[in-house]
Amino acid sequence: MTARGPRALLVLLVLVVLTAGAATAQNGGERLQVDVRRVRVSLGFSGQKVFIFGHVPEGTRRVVTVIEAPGRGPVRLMEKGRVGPFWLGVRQYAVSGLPGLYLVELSCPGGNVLRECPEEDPLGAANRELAAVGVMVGPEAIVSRASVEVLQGGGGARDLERLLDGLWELESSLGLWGVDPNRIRLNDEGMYYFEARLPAHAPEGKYTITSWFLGLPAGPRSASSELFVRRWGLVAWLSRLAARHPWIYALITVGIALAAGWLAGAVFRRRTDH
Amino acid sequence: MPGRNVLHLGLVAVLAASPMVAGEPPPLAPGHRDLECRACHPGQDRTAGCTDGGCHRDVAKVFLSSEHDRRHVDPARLPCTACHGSHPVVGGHAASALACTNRADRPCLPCHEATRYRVGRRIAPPAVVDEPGASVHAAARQALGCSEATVSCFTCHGSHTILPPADPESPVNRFRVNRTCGSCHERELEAFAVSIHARGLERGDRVSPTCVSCHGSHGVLAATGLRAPTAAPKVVFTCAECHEDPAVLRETLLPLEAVDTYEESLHGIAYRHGIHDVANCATCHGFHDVFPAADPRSPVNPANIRGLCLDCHERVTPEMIEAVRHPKGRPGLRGILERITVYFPIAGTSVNPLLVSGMGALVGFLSGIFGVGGGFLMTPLLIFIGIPAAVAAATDAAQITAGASSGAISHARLGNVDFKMGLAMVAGSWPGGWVGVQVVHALRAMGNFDFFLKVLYVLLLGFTGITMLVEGARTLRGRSPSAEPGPGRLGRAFERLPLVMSFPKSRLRISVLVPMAAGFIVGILAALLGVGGGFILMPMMIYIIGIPTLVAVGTGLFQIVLTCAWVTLQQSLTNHTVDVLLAIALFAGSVIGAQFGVLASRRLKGEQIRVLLAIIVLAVMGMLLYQLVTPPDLLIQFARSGGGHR
Repeated sequence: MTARGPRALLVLLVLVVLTAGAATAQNGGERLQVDVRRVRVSLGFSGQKVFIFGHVPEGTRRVVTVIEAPGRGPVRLMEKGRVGPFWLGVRQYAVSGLPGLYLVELSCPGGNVLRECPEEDPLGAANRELAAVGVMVGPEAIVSRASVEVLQGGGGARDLERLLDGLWELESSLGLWGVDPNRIRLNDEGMYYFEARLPAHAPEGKYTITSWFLGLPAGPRSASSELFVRRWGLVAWLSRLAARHPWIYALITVGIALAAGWLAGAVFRRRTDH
Repeated sequence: MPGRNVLHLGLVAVLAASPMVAGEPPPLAPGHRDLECRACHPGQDRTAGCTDGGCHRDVAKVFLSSEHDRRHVDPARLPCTACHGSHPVVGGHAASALACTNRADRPCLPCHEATRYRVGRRIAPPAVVDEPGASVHAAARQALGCSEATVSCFTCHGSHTILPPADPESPVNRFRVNRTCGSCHERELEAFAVSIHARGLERGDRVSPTCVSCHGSHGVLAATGLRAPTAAPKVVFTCAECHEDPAVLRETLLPLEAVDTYEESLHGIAYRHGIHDVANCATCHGFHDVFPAADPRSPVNPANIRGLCLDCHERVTPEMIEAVRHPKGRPGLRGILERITVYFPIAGTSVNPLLVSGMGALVGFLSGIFGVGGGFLMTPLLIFIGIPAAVAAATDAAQITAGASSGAISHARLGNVDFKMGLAMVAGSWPGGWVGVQVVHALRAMGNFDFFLKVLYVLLLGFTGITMLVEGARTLRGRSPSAEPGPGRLGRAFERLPLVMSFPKSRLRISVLVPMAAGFIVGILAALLGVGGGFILMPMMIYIIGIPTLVAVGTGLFQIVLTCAWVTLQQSLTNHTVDVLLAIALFAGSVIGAQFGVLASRRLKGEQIRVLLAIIVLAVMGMLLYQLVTPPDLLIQFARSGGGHR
């Protein structure tokens, strides 16, 4: 359709080229491509859809793709509990080793776009297979990587389990983490494809996108690609100014504030005088 | 008229090759039974058989002014006999029937199908072809034979008066073609005539669709098939031809993302993946009688939509309707404004700047009326629209600086600012702010800073709100004199303090330690609460120090400007949490709102201002109290990294 013409054409072209190349693909034919290599976070940025596609090796229709943004520093979390009539923080933790964005997308051979995946625990099944190559995806992978420091209260195994479950829920509500067991579509030519949505507050950095192909006799195989999310233009300039020259940034901000107030006062004075 | 002569020569040429000339006995034409042969075949010197002798001159005149004559159509290919035959000569529908049954003699196709004509002379592309599947009209001819019930070229384009589609008189002109189709498809035309599309055509709208826009022209196919533009697999694309065309969207007030948002809906996802028995445009909006959603006749009108969903679904919930509702935004200018977003670099997210400015205007208005910075309202509002708490609190300080400076300048002009008093307060508020920052650090280390913050808010807001409400209400009812409240018992206790100074503007002679202490307390609270402290300072100035209300408003704003400018600097240097773009969006609204607030304050009495402020303060307190006692949506939350001014 007209508005997405160029992008649709590009995607179509890439799909055609990859389909044509399927017959000649070596080492099993697994591939992964992203329709954009660089996502520019400029003034008009409000999130972006990224089209991810590639070939599945012969003999399988099961794919797991993980999109992961670089980690960030320790995150301070608190667990709220009821004390008398009030809800207040009863435990506090600092958690490190967390990714900034973590999306796990799966194909579901028995599902379709309208229904949920009929398979029972598709993520668990994928993890059981991936264990052969020492890989884990989904909430369990986050748990295995996270390092938790107890700041106040709690600290028991159940507390930590509740903390990490709650953290997953919290990040999912922001669109930064998530698992979709029925996201990846496959066609008859051995192509897989899906659209991933990067939210407006997606972190900057080099994202890694890895597809794992399951159900192969020789064990899981993978293909990976990268995506760069960078601030751009005025957004990048202001971020840098605020970080490197805070005095200048602060004086500019206060100056603008005072000037705006004075200007409005002057304008209204004229209007009042007239 | 050379064209006419050539046409006549052509007629002769054709007639010369006719069976009669060849010597075969010709059947007599019904209308021409009484004519002698030489009436039409007068000899080599005659150039026309149909128009000479006064016959058919009117028709010939019309024909020769038609598009065919204008384009200098080779007359040898288009004599009268091409359509009407020679022996017999037939007229009316029978003429088209002749063209219909005898392909070799069909008058239109030889030119309209032949590439050499089309390329050289820009003749319209191939028209009707005879394969049964080419169009419903061709199929009908195949099935029913040639009759009045079937369609030929002449049915739509006319016969003698063939005009180009751009000609307003042409039956296939976009503003007439519906009537042409409707001459056979009466019910469809009746339904279409009341639709939003028909209304557009009536207005002369060149982008409104006609029958041809959706069904095509020559290759009209049945909607029950798979290839038709109105068939389920294609209808969304057909509607998108206009509803996603930037040129059409520019000229109209159509929703900008109707197709996009459909494709993102559950129905659209299925449709894109080849499941075509889900709801498409026509399923919900209808096809001939399409109405805007606001029209009660529209199936997607809020009053009808549940019934519409029940046509396919056994059970319908509001959540299901919301999940497929599209577009989410409003059409027109309002919709465009709603879709404007700016990425705020320090906040790290995108928000509509108009929304931010609107909030700034509201808070600025209150600031102008009541002499408060408005931080106690603005920070929660910013957090509510998705700005991180630390950035909201820090940027709010910059916003308060702008809004309060605008109000302070206006109040200064009105003589409502006691600069001496204000500076004395600032001398206390800056050290107070430093002490407050230390308290914040201590509270954060203990955890539950948010909880303490809210409890403190509730206590302070509750106390000041109730006090102001009771006092203001008593004054308004006339139980207390309308005069300024004056210093209370606590204020009078300060009279014995040293360093007594005169504050003429406030009509006070008190110790300078009193405003400094007030500023100190406000500085602590401002650091703790992340606000300018005006809502605390105002009652202190009025009820404890005894400053007249209007002077307290002006002086409060002056003090807030200095305090918040300092806090903005500190936040930028220490936390890097001031977003200048967000602040500018807030200024744009708040400085203007503050001016209107000042104008409004001149129409209000002091006690009215106090009662209104008390109501707002108590409303905010109620909201915070509610948050404290209701279970949160998520038990695990980010510990607040911002908060009080550092």
